[in-house]
Amino acid sequence: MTDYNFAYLDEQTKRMIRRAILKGIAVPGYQVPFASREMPMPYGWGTGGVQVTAACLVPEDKLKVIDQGADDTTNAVSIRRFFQRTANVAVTEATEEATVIQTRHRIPETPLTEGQILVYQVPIPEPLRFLEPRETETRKMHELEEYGLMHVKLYEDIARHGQIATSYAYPVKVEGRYVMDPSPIPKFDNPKLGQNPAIQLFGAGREQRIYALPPYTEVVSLDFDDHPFQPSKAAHDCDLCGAKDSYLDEVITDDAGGRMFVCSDTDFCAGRRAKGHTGRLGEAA
Amino acid sequence: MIEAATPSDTTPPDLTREPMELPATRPLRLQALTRGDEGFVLSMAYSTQRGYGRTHAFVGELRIGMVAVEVEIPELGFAVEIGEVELTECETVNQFKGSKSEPPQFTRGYGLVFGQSERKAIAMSLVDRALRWEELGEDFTGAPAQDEEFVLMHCDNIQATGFLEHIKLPHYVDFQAELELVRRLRSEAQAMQEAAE
Ligand SMILES: [Zn+2]
Repeated sequence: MTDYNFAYLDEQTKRMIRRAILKGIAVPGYQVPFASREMPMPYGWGTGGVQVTAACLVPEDKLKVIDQGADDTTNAVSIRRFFQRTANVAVTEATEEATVIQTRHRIPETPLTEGQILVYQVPIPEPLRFLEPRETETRKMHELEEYGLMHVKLYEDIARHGQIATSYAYPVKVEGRYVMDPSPIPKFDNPKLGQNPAIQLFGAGREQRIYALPPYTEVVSLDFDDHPFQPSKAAHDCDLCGAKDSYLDEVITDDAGGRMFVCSDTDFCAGRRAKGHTGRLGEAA
Repeated sequence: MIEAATPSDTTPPDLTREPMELPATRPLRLQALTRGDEGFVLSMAYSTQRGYGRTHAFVGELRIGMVAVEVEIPELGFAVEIGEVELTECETVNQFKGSKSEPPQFTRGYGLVFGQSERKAIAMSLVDRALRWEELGEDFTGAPAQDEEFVLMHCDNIQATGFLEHIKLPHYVDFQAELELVRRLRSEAQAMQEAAE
């Protein structure tokens, strides 16, 4: 078979997903159930994000796909190829050029702009899941805005560890109403969620949920007055481009404990190097 | 002597076209079990035989046959018959001494599965019967096979396989975040210990 409906999904399905997206945008942070379809990729590999992207794409779009911040990771490469083949859309690695960006585990370092759509792949959309495994219970807790359990968990962290011991998928409160799971992005990325000019859409295929943050939404990482939220990263600069403010991967370089720290956002790092910035191990472009 | 199975013309919900809603109706539960992993359904059924939500089943009907498969093409708006598929169907008759709401009678469990698989069809019937505790006025004993959300949300092996195997994908961004956290917690714990000495 060589012909696909544009972006793989049939038009009825896209309509159904768009309705869920619109509902999500109308009620920021609320998890909208949707009839997730079986996709030609395994669950847990971005089926939710792919369906959301498919429902958003138009032929004029320019698509960027990243996993762990990188365009050349296996999941990102597969999904980018999938849409090249089924939607024939242009693709890019440059954050500022992209109209739709599908991501797993990161928000790009380059600030997003109005008109861009950021689509997150979400494994477990329910922020309360590991406190209460039953969906029937957690939906009630959201309805009643009963988030005491989450605050108790964060408080117990502080009592035991002196700080909130959550480093990624750090829960946020949206517009003072819904507690939301931002997907497993490092908490370093949390400040980028709020007041973002782009539309942020979250797709969880296996769990059949879509949720959204419209542009310029108020998003607050949960914390306490005396233990304010702190984004964190490795205390280094990028060894290739010298960036002081980007999220870093730690790469082991030999068997003697040698290591380097490099930007996880490959486009951001390459862009800085192209402009002549260098780090400890970098060479000027 | 056996519970009435009242015929209904209501169109059942379609699990492939609507998200799973809990609590689920019986048609939705049956669809999920039919699609469920044979090993999972078998183990759940076996657990009811060993007393975790006992189902006291006798096999009332067990048969194998071919049925036509129709596929509705969304863009065309009509159904096309694409072939035949083999199914195994089972109906169990279950002992039931009655409850507050129901008189003593035989109750039913139902299984319908793809292929020639008496084992899965019987297993499905037992699990179906165990999940019907509420409508028959039985007690929830905490048995896994009675727990609708646990059974229905974990029986799909396509979902389970995908999510399990996705941990092969890179996770180094999350790992790095966790690494920094553990390093910080350890250095603070060590500093506290040294201060105490
Ligand atoms: Zn860099």
